[in-house]
Amino acid sequence: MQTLVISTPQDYIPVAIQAVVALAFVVVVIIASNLLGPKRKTEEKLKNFECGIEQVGNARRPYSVKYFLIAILFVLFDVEVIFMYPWAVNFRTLGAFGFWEMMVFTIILLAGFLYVLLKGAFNWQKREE
Amino acid sequence: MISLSDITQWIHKMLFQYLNGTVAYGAELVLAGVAVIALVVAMAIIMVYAERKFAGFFQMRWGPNRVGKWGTLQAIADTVKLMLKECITPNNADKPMFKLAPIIITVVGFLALAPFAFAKGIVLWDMNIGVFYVTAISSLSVIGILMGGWASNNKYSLLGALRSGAQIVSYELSAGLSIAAIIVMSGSMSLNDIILAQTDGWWILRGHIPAIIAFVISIIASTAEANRSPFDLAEGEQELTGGYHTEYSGIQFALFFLAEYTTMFILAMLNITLFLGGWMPFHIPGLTVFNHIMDFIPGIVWFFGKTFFILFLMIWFRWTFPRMRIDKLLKLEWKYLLPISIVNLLFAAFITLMGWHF
Amino acid sequence: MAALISIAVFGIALLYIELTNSKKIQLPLAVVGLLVTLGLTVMQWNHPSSSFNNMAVTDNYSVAFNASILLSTMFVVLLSAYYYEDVKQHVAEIMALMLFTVFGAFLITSFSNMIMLFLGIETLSIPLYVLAGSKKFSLRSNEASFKYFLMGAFASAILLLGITLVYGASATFQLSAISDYVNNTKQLPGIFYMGIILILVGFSFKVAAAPFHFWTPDVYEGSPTLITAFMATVVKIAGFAAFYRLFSSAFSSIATFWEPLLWGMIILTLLISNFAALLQKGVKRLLAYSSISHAGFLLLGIIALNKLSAGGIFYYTLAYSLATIPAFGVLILVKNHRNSDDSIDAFNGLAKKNPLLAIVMSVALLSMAGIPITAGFFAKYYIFVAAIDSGYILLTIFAVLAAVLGVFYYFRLLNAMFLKEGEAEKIKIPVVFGISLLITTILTLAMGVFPDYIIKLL
Repeated sequence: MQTLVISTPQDYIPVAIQAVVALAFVVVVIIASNLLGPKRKTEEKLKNFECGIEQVGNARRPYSVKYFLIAILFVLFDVEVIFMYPWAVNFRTLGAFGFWEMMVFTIILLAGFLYVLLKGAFNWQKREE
Repeated sequence: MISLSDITQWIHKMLFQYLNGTVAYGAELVLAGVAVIALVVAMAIIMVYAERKFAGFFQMRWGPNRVGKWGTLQAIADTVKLMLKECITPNNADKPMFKLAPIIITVVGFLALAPFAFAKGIVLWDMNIGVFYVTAISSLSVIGILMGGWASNNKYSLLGALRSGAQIVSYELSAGLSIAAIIVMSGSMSLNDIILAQTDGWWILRGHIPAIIAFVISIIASTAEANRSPFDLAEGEQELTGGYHTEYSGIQFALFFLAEYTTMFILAMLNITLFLGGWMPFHIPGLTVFNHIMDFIPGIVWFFGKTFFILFLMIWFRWTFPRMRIDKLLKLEWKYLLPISIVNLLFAAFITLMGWHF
Repeated sequence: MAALISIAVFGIALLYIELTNSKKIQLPLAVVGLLVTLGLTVMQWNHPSSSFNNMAVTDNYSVAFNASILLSTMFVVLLSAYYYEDVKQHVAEIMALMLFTVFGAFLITSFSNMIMLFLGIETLSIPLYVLAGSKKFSLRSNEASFKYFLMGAFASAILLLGITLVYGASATFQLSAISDYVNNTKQLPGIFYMGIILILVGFSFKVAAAPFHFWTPDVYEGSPTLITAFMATVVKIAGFAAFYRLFSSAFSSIATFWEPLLWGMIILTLLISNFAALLQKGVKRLLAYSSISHAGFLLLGIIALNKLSAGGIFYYTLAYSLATIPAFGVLILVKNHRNSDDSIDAFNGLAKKNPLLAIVMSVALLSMAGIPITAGFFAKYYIFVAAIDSGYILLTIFAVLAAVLGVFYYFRLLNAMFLKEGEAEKIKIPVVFGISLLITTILTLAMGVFPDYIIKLL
């Protein structure tokens, strides 16, 4: 049988210290590089790179709505995937009941997936009207 | 024979001998953190060299061969060069965000290393949610990428960041599902427990069909998540100059580069931990003699051997497959890998339920 | 439970129908789905049960409200056949979204746990945001959708914060446990009172009661007319069912705290809505303000908080829905006929060439105004009786005055239809549309003549 492990805030100290060490490493490297490297700034150099031609317009422009669609769908499905993790851990104790429950859940999930698929959310080419 | 845990035990004893408890504990953790970072940096340098040498081999040329014997010091020379370069922040850029992006992406990469068990007993942070922690933290790197791409105020950067964001985010789904298939089999999210559950054989062998499917999907997803070719269209040089790090130079660029290799490294380690037994030697139940011979090879060798095998696979992919187009890339994930991995998860659950794995 | 599953399954089925582009079976399927669900709902009458670990309770109260929600939805869906005749895409999706809204409505009429309340309100609201913007290329519709979304999101957040504070004080989400907590605690903490205020505010947003009604006219005007009819009826029924359920069970013991707040809100709602309605030129906006004023009358039932209120609220919401749907239905026909002109002048001389439409509209308006032999009269009567029974005599007198004021603007429309001259032509009434209009009108009259059958249910 599984033993119940309860985590306390103290268990997270290693990660906190690692975060501090990692941050310190990055910051030290950046500062060191800034001290070592030259600083000769000219106007041309500080312009945005655009293959050598003069910059045209601004980069803050609208982009394809498909990316939003992907982001939204990701959020939807990722929540379901995360929901599966605790189920997966406890699967052996849940047994057949857990399997059939997840079967129902997956069928509903796949029904939604099929709808999205048939609706053409993953077709990146322009739809022929 | 001196194993790695002997060394760590010795350091542990030394620290607690000369310092009081709390300070020693803290110092130990700091040491461990530094060691992990040193490991990653060393790995990255080795990987850059290996990648270029392999590239030369695949393309029938020499690769780096000027700096040091067989060009071995080439990567170190490059690192030093990047250190000494000027860091340019474009005038139009969103400066705080521009400077924060490489920091975030690198720190996140280092953080994700915490729960890995490199050898028996060598684990910085053995947590019951290890796998979950790795996937959660490493998915944060997409924020760094989007930040960098957006803050650069450059069209190439923006496009690269968007593509990269969409790609990483998409492939995370099937990667997460194939990880879940292994969690179902081993019944734990702690990386250490997962490795210990493979004492009698690695999951890829014991779990047969579902585990192999999950492994293949996971390798594809890892390659995509690391923005590696054939999924490297986020930084496709021919069309986007440099992708999301077009505007970065000097050490900031180096940090992005490092983060990429860190991601690769983490994903390779995650894959071998889940499917290939981590540091666990190759065991066949019943063959005691064989198992003992295998045990003679230290765990750390097994671990890094397997990791390098996966990394070699990724390098191999790079010089074998042509780059994909963004729509085909997303189609591959959403239309094929995602449904397959969902069904595969259920299949793995079924196998586990019936006890049909070895 | 069975009804919930049935409505969800039919909603999903409709989504898939959309993909096959078989336009002919969408409407029958939606109607069949609603009828099946209605059957399953009515079967639960006098068979109370609880589901989801006692988080939702199906009792006669919820069955009655669910049935009236289903009826209203059915009439709206019947109207949609004509309304979306020229629309090529998304019609089945709109119906599916309506069914999902009904799903949310079911949850909030039968909740016995605050979590369920919040889930239900979200499930109710999110399809509505989309529905409000379902006329994709109309700027007004988009604006309505966006306004509704922002306001609704704020309202949900405020409601959720209220629920959280109540939980923080009482450590439970269960309504009965909260009620016990209120009864057994001598000194209730401040956060509990704050929580009640926030929940009250959240609900007032949802049911469009002043001073949180500002979104209503814009959203009702901008949304497609059919969706406005849907929002004005189904959402209002569900909202008031949940409102009364929550405040009559969990917070009934500290009515002395929230009743003064509600008292002020009623006065404000009746004042603002009736005076604003007098000034309106567009019929749609007029109906929006009239819907706010009805919210004011309905709040009387909640403030009364006695054994008459549940029946009164049920009767009122049903009567109001049965009047609102034909009113919007006639508006759709007239508006389409007059090149989307929905001012009162568009109704000039309607009675000459289209007596049927004029009669349907008049019955609806008279019912809304509360004139006898229509359902609206008894609706107001029962609510007033309930309020007087609890001693709110001053408030009732005020409400009666407001009702009299309401008669003015309803009669402006009647005046336009029957007494003014206009260049009206014969408007062709599609069959399904006509059925929906006729049934609702007949039901309105029947409820006005035989009110006992309805009022005795609860």
